[in-house]
Amino acid sequence: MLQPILNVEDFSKTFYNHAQGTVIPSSHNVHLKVWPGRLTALVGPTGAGKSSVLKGIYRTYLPSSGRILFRTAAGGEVDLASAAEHVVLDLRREEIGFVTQFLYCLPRRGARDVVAEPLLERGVPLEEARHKAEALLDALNVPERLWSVPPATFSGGEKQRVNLARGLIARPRLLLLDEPTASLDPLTTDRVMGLLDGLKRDGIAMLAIFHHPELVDRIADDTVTLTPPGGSA
Amino acid sequence: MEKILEVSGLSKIFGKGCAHCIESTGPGFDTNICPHCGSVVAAHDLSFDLHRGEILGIMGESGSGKSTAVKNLYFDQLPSGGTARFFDPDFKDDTAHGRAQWDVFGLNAAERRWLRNHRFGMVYQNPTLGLNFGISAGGNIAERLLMSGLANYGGIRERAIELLRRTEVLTERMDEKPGSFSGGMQQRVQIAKALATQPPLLFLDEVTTGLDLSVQAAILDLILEIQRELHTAMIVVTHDLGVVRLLTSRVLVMKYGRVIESGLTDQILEDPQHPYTQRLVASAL
Repeated sequence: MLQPILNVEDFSKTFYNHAQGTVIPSSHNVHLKVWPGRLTALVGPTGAGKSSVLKGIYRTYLPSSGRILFRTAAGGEVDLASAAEHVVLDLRREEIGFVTQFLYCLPRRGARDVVAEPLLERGVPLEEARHKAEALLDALNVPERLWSVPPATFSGGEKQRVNLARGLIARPRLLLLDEPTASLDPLTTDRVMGLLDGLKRDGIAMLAIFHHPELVDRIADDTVTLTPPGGSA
Repeated sequence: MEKILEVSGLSKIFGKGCAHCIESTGPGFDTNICPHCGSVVAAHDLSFDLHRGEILGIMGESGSGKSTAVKNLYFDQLPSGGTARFFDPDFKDDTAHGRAQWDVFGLNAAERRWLRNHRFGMVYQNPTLGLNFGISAGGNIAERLLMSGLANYGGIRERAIELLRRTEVLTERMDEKPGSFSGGMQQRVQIAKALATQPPLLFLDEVTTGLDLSVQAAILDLILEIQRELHTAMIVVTHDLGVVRLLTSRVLVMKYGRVIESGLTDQILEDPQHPYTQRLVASAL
């Protein structure tokens, strides 16, 4: 019997803005499981806290309550909601990847090296990492003339493709995807779907948010519906 | 990853100090100056650890005490209290000097000098603190190599050329004094000098402050390349949230000599918990 790689139990996230004295509820009472080789899609209206769930799992947000149990490659179980910072950093480098909506990278570095970075952090030799980066940029339809250019000047769609390549290159055991195709054309979206299918076949577990419901129908194996705080979907 | 540094309860008070200094200063009192005796509580109860090859950020506004930690660790100041342990990753049993573990705040002058010359490096915001302006750029590097025990002239010159090339300083200018260089170039020479002995632990105090944006970017790039190539652990002191985001994996936020919040860098920048950090992040992004 296949075990889930991720088991989120009763996760909630609430923001406190001290300057305004406001409490902003986001995700609440979220339960979900993610399995190796399967893609779980988070669905629900804007404001239901879908991104907050992903950021909570990656610990970009501090969870307000709940447990986020991750099964490590070594076979242990780590609660990402409370794990020590160095444990989270090690897992980010080796096992958990996140394709966010925005790309942050060094101003002077070309797209190829931005994509290769996660492999370099793991100690992969430069030439090998660059080679893999080029293959992915090519697969995602990024023209070769852009590979050595820093992405700061790229269009939204080009930046997103660089961001995707960077997220996919390290082939983490768990991949979090926040609207990975939001600003892509249909052809590139098809290519991304193809890549994600390939990752599934290789046993990679994914938790994703998609802008278009038809993409959920196309690629998701499981769906989890979130409702906005204080209301129903 | 293994720990390289462990700092516990580091405090630094300027002035004679009194029984009320700690209880009447800090973020809650909006000051780090003791109203009873006028002493300045630059840092109180600073605790953190650092792993090999990791970059830790210390951020805050001027006067928050963010530089105090690195100044004390690099022996530019003596702490008022606290302990720091350095676990030497380059320690070998067969050398006369050195030890596997150092009690950083409990050393005599010779021991401090040995750590500065062999294991720690510092890059200051102000190049005049890190460089000797009376001698050439190459001479500055040679000076550090000599202090670390390398005594062969040819070997020193070769190493200096290699370091300047590495930090993208034109080697044909290595015999010029740093005073004739641009600010960005002086910073590169300072980094080359700090790296001359390949220290496993490097302190960077506001190293990009005051430089043009393009020069800043190049220096940040260089710092990350060094970290990757040499696996150097670093403490980066800065008030610039952009520098924190690009360089560090964890960060401490300081105000009036206290750490008010610490965490993973992306978490501190996207989900700050303390009112002060929330204000800082909101006003910067």
